[in-house]
Amino acid sequence: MGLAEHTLFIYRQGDSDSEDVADYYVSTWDLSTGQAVAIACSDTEILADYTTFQTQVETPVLAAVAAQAAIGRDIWVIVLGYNVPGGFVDGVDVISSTSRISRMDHTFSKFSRSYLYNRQNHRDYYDDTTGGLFDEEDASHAYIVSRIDAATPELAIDIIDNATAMRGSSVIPAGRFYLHLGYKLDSTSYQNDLEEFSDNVVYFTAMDVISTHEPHEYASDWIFPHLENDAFFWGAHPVHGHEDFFEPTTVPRIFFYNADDRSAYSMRDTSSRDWCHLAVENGYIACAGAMSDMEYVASTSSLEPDSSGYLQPTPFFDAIFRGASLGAAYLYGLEFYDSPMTLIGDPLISIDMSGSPDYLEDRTQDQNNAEWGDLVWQISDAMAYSYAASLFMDAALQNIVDSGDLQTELDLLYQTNNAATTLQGTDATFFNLVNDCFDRVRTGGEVKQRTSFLPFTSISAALDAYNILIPEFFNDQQSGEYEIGSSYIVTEGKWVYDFELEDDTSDYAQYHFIIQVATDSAFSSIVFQANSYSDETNWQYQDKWRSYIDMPESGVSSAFVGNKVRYVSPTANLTRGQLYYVRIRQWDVVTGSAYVNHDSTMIVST
Amino acid sequence: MISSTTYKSYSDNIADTLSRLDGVQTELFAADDKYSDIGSVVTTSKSRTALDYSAVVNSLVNLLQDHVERNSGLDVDDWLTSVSVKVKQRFATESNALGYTISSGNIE
Repeated sequence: MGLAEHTLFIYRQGDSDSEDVADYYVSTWDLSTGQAVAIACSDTEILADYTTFQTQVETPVLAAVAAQAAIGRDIWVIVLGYNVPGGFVDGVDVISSTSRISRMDHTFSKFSRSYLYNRQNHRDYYDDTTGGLFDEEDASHAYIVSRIDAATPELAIDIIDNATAMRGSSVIPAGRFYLHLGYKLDSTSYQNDLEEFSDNVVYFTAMDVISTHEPHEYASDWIFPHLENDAFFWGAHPVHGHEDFFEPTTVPRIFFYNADDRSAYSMRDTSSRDWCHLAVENGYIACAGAMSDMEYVASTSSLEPDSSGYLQPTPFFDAIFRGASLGAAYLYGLEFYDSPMTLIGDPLISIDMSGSPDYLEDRTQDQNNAEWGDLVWQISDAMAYSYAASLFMDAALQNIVDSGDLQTELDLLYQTNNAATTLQGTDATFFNLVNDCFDRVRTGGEVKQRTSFLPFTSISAALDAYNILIPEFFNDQQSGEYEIGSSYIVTEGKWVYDFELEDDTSDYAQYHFIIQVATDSAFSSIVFQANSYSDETNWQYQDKWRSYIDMPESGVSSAFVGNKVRYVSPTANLTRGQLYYVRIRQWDVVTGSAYVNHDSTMIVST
Repeated sequence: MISSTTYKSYSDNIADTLSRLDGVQTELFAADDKYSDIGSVVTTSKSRTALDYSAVVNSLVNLLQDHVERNSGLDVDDWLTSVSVKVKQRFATESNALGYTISSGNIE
């Protein structure tokens, strides 16, 4: 079982070279002969328009997938073989065959955003029964599609052979990871993405990382003169390469991606100096690239987040570390459907990183650290409930004192006073709990720094790393030995409400939020309300490292479903120990759809 | 004996006290589930809260209802009907647990 069971190889009808490559792939993966299907298409690499593409490629592939379904085989993976068209012209863009076929069950919609991209709470571990991470539900959004095409059928066979040689063996640590950080990129957002990958993720490949440095203001960006013993290349190098760039290597070349606008323009032009052609020619198992300009993305609605559209390294490697196949990791790292981006190579290959530091353990550590923040608020809420109970008990005592009836006082006063006194004495119970919480950070019990697995050097460092806020009520219970900066304290009367981002659409959405706080469950007495769309100030959400960051004007994408969103009140407008009714409504700014209210209660525990 | 006005205020305050103590337990249980390393401390607090505080407050429910029955000559439910007082659900739940049946018509 696995993805191979769900794979369909498409080759060009009447083309013996194309059929030979298909047969080779089928035998390599031990597929059934029915899993290779010929379609009547031209051998033109880039077709003139979408209509031509539909006629020659999309419609026949749809029919082939339907035919497989009819005999009980669900197709999730499609490989477009030698001499099958690689794309089509659409206005100023060249849309790749892989991206369109990936979405052939859906209407063509150029640069539409992917639901599969960068999901923060996707399945964690490799599951062989479903082919590893990717499943039927994912396939309903987008098929895994790649091209195995090249200047010659021999080179196409080499792509398959190189991938086959890699199967069953783990990444050799001696291989180098060349990471070009693209300091002169036009897209500062992608430059930031590369830096984030450099800071937080590439470490887990356990490879010798060769990266560029920030150049002088007036200097051009650094370039690598050549690659040597390179296993991975990722970055934003100049557009064209040269043959001598790839030195002989003693390690398998696994994946090459350069963030530019034409790396994958042609796989068949023998004179091409575009990166994908050069990478495959020099032994890379797989590569990705764009067939034309990605700038269209920048002109999309201002309501949507800024994006370069380039392949994102962090979600790509997140999936690889979790055991995803190359094709699935590519889909998870791609922000847009129906774009010029394409994947070249065998999509079924998994990259065994088992010799690397435990990436998943580190993600669990982030989760634990974030939950430490949740724990603080839960204990503070418990304290607030206890405080409120004590106030009600005091009021009950006053009822008896004010009763003016001797028999009532005789029967009830002593025990009521006893109960009131007992509830006033809850501080000691919470004192130990609060101080033990803080002590976890100091001793590193469960709150550790990312990657180093060490305790934080100070409470403030831990709070800063995850933007954890501490209620004043909670902090007042500590012994005094833990110094908490005032910026981390939520003072009395202010409040914080957090909630888990819900998947209201099962499709890509860009969520904004309305919060209403009331003193009654019917919400007839609303004391506060805010809409993140009108003003995103004071709204935050957990990023991929579970640290709370400010919500951008564009809201929070559905990729963060399962992470928390929170509102931090700017003013001290509510009363400690008082219970309020809160409802959150998510709505999608892309479609304008508003979803159901999520109701709950909140006790003010600051 | 206690007036219906004082009874109402007192029972409401007891009900609110109990519901807030429920809240203490809910939060501590959630914290315990979430964070096993601190769980031992949470469990201690949780137990103390459950055994000490709720029990102390529950005893007041018993005292109040006993006071009413001894001084009015009626059972609590009939007395509530006679003075047209409706108690909070949380108070009624505790009363019922202690053997004082309160009919739904006397519950808010």
